Amino acid sequence: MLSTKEFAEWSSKVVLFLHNTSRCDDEKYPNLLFQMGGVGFPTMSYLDADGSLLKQVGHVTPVDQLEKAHGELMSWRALRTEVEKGADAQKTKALFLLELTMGNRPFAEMQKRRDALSLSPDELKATEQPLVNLQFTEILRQTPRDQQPIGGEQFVAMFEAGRIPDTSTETSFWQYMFEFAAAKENVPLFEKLLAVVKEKKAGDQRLARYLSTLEERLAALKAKKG
Amino acid sequence: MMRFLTVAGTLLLAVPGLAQAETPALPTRPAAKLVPAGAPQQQDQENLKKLRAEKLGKAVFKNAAWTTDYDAAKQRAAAEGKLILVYFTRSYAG
Repeated sequence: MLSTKEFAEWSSKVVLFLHNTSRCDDEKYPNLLFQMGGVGFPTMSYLDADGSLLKQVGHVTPVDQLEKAHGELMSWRALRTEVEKGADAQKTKALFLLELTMGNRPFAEMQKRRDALSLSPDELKATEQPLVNLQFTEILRQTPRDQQPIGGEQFVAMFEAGRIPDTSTETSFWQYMFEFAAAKENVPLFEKLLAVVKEKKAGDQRLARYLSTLEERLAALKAKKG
Repeated sequence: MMRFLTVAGTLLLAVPGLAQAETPALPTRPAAKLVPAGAPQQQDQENLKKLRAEKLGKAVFKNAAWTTDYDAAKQRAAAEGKLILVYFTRSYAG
């Protein structure tokens, strides 16, 4: 697809940035893929000029799909510009809801903006889960993969507050918390998390092996603590 | 301990439905290699740089105006009012 004339012609609409993970010691942004929510190669994403992730479009994406996503993002950008110039409350709300779906703005900012809007109880309720997901995703992307307990500690605070994500990457929420509990040798927390995961995933035979691994880890933790 | 954690993580990712991540084509960070200090590491770096040069020199990336400079891409996007389309690839493995 990238070799086609169609792509070459279309590409003048955007700035093309090629990020190559080389593992060379002089690499300037070695973790950019992970910070942008990518988990494999290749990945294509749209970024704003400030480097914020706007949309992950997939692996190798056909030009028509790139164009569709581009059109949607340019509409978003036009709405944002209008709101920044002082649009009415309806458009301000529309932009907030759109950006909540896109997940392209920081959690703290979105929380403040939500609180400043006059939302009906139903609308307010509808924003809850997307905000939880945004908070989770933000922490996940900021946590180095080899330091899962750091993110886990923050996820535990979310968990204790009943803020549980339902994104496609929700697995990491539990995984990181288990790592935090294990690192702190916090048996009660590990036990509590395991009980919740077992309840949530009850009957899912695919998880039997994983759950059994967690049981073994819990037993090992208990033995270590005496 | 680390091996155990890795195994647990791998199990999670291997479970369809539980791990519905964005369909990774290939893992971004394969298991760390044990590399002895000194010359072998340098050789490794030389090899990685060679692989990088080969990757970036591929014809596919000559078909359009790709830049590998992130800061320059952001500056250009701001100046021209455009979005950045980033293509994440890797050269350290095939």
